[in-house]
Amino acid sequence: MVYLGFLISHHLAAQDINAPYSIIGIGDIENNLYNRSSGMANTGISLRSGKSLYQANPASYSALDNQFFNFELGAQGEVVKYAGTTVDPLNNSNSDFSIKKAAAGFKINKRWGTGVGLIPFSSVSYLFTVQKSIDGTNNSYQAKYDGNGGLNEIYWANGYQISKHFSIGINSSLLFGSIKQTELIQEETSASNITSTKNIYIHDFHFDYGLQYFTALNKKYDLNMGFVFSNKTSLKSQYSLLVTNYDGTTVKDEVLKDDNYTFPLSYGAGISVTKNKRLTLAADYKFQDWSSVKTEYKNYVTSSHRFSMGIQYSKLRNISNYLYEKNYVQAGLFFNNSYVNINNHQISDYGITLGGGVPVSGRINVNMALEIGTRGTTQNALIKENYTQLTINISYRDIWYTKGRKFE
Amino acid sequence: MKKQYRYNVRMAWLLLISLFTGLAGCEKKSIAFGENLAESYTNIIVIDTLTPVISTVRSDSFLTSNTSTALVGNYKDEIFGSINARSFFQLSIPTVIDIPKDAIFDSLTLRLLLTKQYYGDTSIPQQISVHELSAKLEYSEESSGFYNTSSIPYEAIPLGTKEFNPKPNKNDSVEIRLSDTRGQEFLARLKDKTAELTDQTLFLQYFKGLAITTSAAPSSIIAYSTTDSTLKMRLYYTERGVVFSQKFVDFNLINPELQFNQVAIDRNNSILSGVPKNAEIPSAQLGHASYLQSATGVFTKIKFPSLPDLLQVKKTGKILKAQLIIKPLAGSFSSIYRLPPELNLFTTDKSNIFGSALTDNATGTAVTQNGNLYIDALYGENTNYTYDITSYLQQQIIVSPGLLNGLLLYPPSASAANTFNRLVIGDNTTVKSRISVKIFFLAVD
Repeated sequence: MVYLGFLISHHLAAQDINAPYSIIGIGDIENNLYNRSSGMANTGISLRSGKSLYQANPASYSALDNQFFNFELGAQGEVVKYAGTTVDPLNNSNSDFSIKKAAAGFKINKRWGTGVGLIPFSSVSYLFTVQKSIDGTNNSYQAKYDGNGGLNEIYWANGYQISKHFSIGINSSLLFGSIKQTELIQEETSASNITSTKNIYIHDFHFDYGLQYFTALNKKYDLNMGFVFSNKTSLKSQYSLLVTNYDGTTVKDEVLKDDNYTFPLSYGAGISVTKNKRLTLAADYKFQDWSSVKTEYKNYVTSSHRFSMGIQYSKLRNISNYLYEKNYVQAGLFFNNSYVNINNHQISDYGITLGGGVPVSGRINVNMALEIGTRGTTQNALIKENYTQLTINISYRDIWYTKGRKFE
Repeated sequence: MKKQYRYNVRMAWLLLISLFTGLAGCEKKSIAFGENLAESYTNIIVIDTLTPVISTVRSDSFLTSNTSTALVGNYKDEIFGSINARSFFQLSIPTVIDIPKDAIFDSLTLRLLLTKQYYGDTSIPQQISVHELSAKLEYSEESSGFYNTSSIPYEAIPLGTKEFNPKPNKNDSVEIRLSDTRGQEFLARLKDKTAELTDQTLFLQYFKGLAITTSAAPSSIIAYSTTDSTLKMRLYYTERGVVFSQKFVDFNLINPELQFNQVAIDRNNSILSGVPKNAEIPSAQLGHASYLQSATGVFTKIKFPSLPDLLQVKKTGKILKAQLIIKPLAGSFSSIYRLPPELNLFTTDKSNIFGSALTDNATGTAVTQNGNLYIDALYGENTNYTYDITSYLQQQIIVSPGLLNGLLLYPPSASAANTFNRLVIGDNTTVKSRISVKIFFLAVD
């Protein structure tokens, strides 16, 4: 735990991976939930579990085991290889490891489960250098653009079981963060270097709602369905600009404007079927209506569609008529037409996942997922990223005591 | 057994996590994508509307002693007037040797070594005269040197004269035959080892020194070296014996700090006539030009009075680079009226006192900027001096407009008093070949 604590402090600072498309909008929107669904291509709108926090749908929190509280940490290591006409084939990979998520959840009463967490919502990370010509001369100068930041989400999720087959949920989150673009103008001598940092500080509340339906079709099969929805949200943003000389003296420091970033209406639906409590097949579809806010993003966005499906097999042990999970294996695949649209080309990514989990001790479970995917294309002067991600989710659960007695 | 398994699993996880954390710390790769997507609030523009205002300043007088150079000659041009240069110096006694009583006097000459520096038309023969000083060569009261205006009386009748074609690119030295009477007198006293020729102090009372002057038609000014006994008076004599042998003794230049050049300037009928001393005469009053000739005390002052206005228009930003380009006025320079090879820019104030020369720190060390004179041999139009005035302008921005100071254009101080090379600069009304400033300005929107 000390080791992980060190890593959190060390790696939340900056992302080292270049994600070229994150220059658009609010950056790369996070699709990885860093939870047990990561091995099923993050398919989880219809899933509910007594032991795992499926934050894809807040309605799932009503399924948490009574008496217990859960704590989860998610981390990710990633290796990316870039391809494209402008990419140097001999120097084309990046890697990174960072702590991504911390979450906790517990049951307030038999029907009501709740959870809090911190998770990335979007991330911005790019770096490139351009030669800019000076009008009316043959001269040019070099400008380096370094993008960093993104939005984080602190959420408070509540799920409530309203009837035998239905639960509802609400996820109240604070989205906050800054999107920073640093422009470094490099002249012949370092004494004339100029750094201008545009910082967009964003913070606002965001709500999403969830519904789950669950039933036993017969003795063998269980069926779950889920639906999530969030309204169009305006995120307050403040633009500031700081221009400094090479020696740190300020040329300009001012707030440019207060504005809004719009996060569009989005919804998702999921379905899953479980056989003998062991074999689960799940599928999700998610939609974000970026087309309606296109002009706010200078037409570089378009509506996104994500389809994913996953399969899971759990090895169960029957102890005095109660089923305990020994371990599990997962696989998944996804296709995502992302909201980024450049040169009339919608950037898509697709890939496969493999996952599995085992208890390390009675209280600690380790879930791991491997995702191999491709984003973008080498056509139209675009960049293709071939990436491999390893997600590690460590969950800790223990009995929740209150006032000296078991919470029943 | 079970415990051992669990331990192994735990270690396996730890190993895996450690392996992946090893991916961290890798530097973000630069990927050439997003050029059109980056939002830039800065913009580099070129500003060529900063008009330098030039004026001509004439100094009262300037030091001409101890410059290692004797300037002799006369020269005339329609801009700077008639200039007549004379040089004054003292000589030492020769090394004391035994000269036989029957030695025969041959000749007495003055030997001058050309520094190869010259100005004017060297195709016209020059006549120079060597005069004996009639007064002691010493600084006037309250001064620590000689000035261009200083003069020491000398005998009207020269010890010797010579008319010659200087051909400074061909000849190395000039020898002038001096008076035989004086030479014979020296020889007699050397034979006798009289006090005046064995004691330096007494010698300087007996023979106070020499002045080299010129008269006749304007031709050129020639520079002679006065370092390391390159300038000397030589007495030739012949010793009798089985075989006659010619010998000589040298009277070398002594006390170089007392050697000086008188530069007489007659501005009548020249463009600069009527220009008062120590005043800044705007280019508009001098034919829309400014003038520079350091050896006659004329230099150019450059000011940028419109700098505050310029920055007002551009509000926020920074001067990234500023270049001062000085193109000499077309037709003002030729193979005879050559341009100064090196010119520095000195900071100054209202009283036109020379400050420090602008330097270039590009290489890490401060190197004095000398203008990098580029001669456009083909058309002449692009002949120019260029200076990086970035730091100067950046510094001028932060001072209040009332304290804006100019720059003085002047040759490196070591050669200034000897440099007759002239420069004429056209002001902003000049169509071609003028002074201009090019600023690369980073504007913040």
